[in-house]
Amino acid sequence: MLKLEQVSKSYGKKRVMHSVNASFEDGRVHGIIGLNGAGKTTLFNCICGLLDYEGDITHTAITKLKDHIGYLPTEPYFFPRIKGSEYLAFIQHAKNVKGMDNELVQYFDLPLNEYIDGYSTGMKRKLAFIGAMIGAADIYILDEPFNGVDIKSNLLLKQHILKLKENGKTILLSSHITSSLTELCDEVHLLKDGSFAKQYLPGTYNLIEQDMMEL
Amino acid sequence: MPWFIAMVSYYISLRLKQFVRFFSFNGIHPLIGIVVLLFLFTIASVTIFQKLPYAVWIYVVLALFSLLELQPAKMNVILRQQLTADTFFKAKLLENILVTIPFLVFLGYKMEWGAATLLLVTIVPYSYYSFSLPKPKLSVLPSPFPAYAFEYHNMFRMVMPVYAIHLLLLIVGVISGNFYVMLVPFFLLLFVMQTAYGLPEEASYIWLYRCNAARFLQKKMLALLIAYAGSFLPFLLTGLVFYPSSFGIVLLCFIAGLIAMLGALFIKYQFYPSALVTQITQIIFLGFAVSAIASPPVFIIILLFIGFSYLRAKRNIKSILQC
Repeated sequence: MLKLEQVSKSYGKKRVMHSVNASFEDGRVHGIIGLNGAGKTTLFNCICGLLDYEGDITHTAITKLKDHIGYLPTEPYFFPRIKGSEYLAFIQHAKNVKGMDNELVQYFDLPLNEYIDGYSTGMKRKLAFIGAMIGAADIYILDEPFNGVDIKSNLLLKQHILKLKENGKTILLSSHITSSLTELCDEVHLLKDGSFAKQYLPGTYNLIEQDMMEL
Repeated sequence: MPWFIAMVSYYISLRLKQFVRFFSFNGIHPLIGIVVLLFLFTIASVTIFQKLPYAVWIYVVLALFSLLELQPAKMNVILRQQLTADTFFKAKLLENILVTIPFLVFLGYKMEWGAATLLLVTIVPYSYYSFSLPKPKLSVLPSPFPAYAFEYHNMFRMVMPVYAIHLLLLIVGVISGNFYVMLVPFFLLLFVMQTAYGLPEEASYIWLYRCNAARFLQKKMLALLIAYAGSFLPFLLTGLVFYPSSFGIVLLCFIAGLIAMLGALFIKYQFYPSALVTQITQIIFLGFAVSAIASPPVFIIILLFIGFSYLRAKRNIKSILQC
């Protein structure tokens, strides 16, 4: 179980996360929603250890969290003049993964022998998603994975996320598409002004949109 | 103030901001970038006038070509949509004159008033009919070692034009029979490679590594060794085959260059993520490494610095790798 205890984050004098407490169980999909600027990406970066924070982020079974996380950032960065296959090969080496899972690499039928510079937004997103899946992670943090992807890829993404869940992985998922969240998630947390304001379970998902309108 | 003057002024100020941000977005301090650019421009201008026949006319063509290169097609489309034809013309005219000022100043310095006038006159119709060069299709260039040396094949593609010049100058060095001509392409490529190592990567690209800081730096060193050996192999072979009596100097250059690059690598992570401090330190270090060719005892100081830099780099990236 992934546990956040009194997690806070400030940029200078500006506090963007206020004593966040949460527990994320294994084998479940946890949705995170909130308005733009609510602190979703900051929270994810803190969990990954890409940002310093106050408080504790721990896992009951894992000591070095970083090496067990597969992270899809909201705006993945790609080196210029790099082919899709080279990007994936880089991640494979960086994560010290032996052998490439061809089924995963071909999952979206991307033109991997072309420069990423020529990819569309959706193609870049799919490539970053494959990159995040490389290596046997226990926790997957997917920051708006459905942005800009076509309908078929959207379905493939959902299938893959459900497969991860079946395999007992912990998935943190943020999205602005409510239907995708309610379809996939076992629970949804509402992040408001840098702290969790409400938690929704499947029976109360109908309240999400109404609450969002009132924020 | 009439609307079109306000509009043209705003457009020009926007283009100037873009120009300054070009450097900062590439991790270079704008002041350093502009000084280096002016320096390179002056060197190139002097060289053209000293070495090439019909230099004046080549210079005018180059000035017009630089105008073409600096016309983003999309921006012209947006401007034509938003502005009247008259305002568009005035904005482009002012922009093009600003871009050609360095060329005009140099032509004035050379007392080439006829060429300067021709350049100015050509700008007028060009500003009216502003057109852009078609965007080249992204064709994939091959690069050696695609599976491992990630920075290398990224860098290789970045320096490909310089690498072609490097090889060409090596051939010139052989044909001219002058050993020292061969050293020019060596230093040129070394400088470009070092520049590539001056840009810090996104934190997530370090974070991804599942290893400790020492192992991370070992991997980076291995990639650099492959990159360096691959890049400078033609230089080494040319020295061995065509200038065997001076091969000692070639080897010394090769070793000094390798040490300079290793230093550049450690400095990058020592000062990560500050691009400015990294680049300044790397340039100073390169100077020391090059001076060590003439005075080998300097190598000792350099090696000591490399050791120190390695330890600092290891400490600095520990927090990202969480080990």
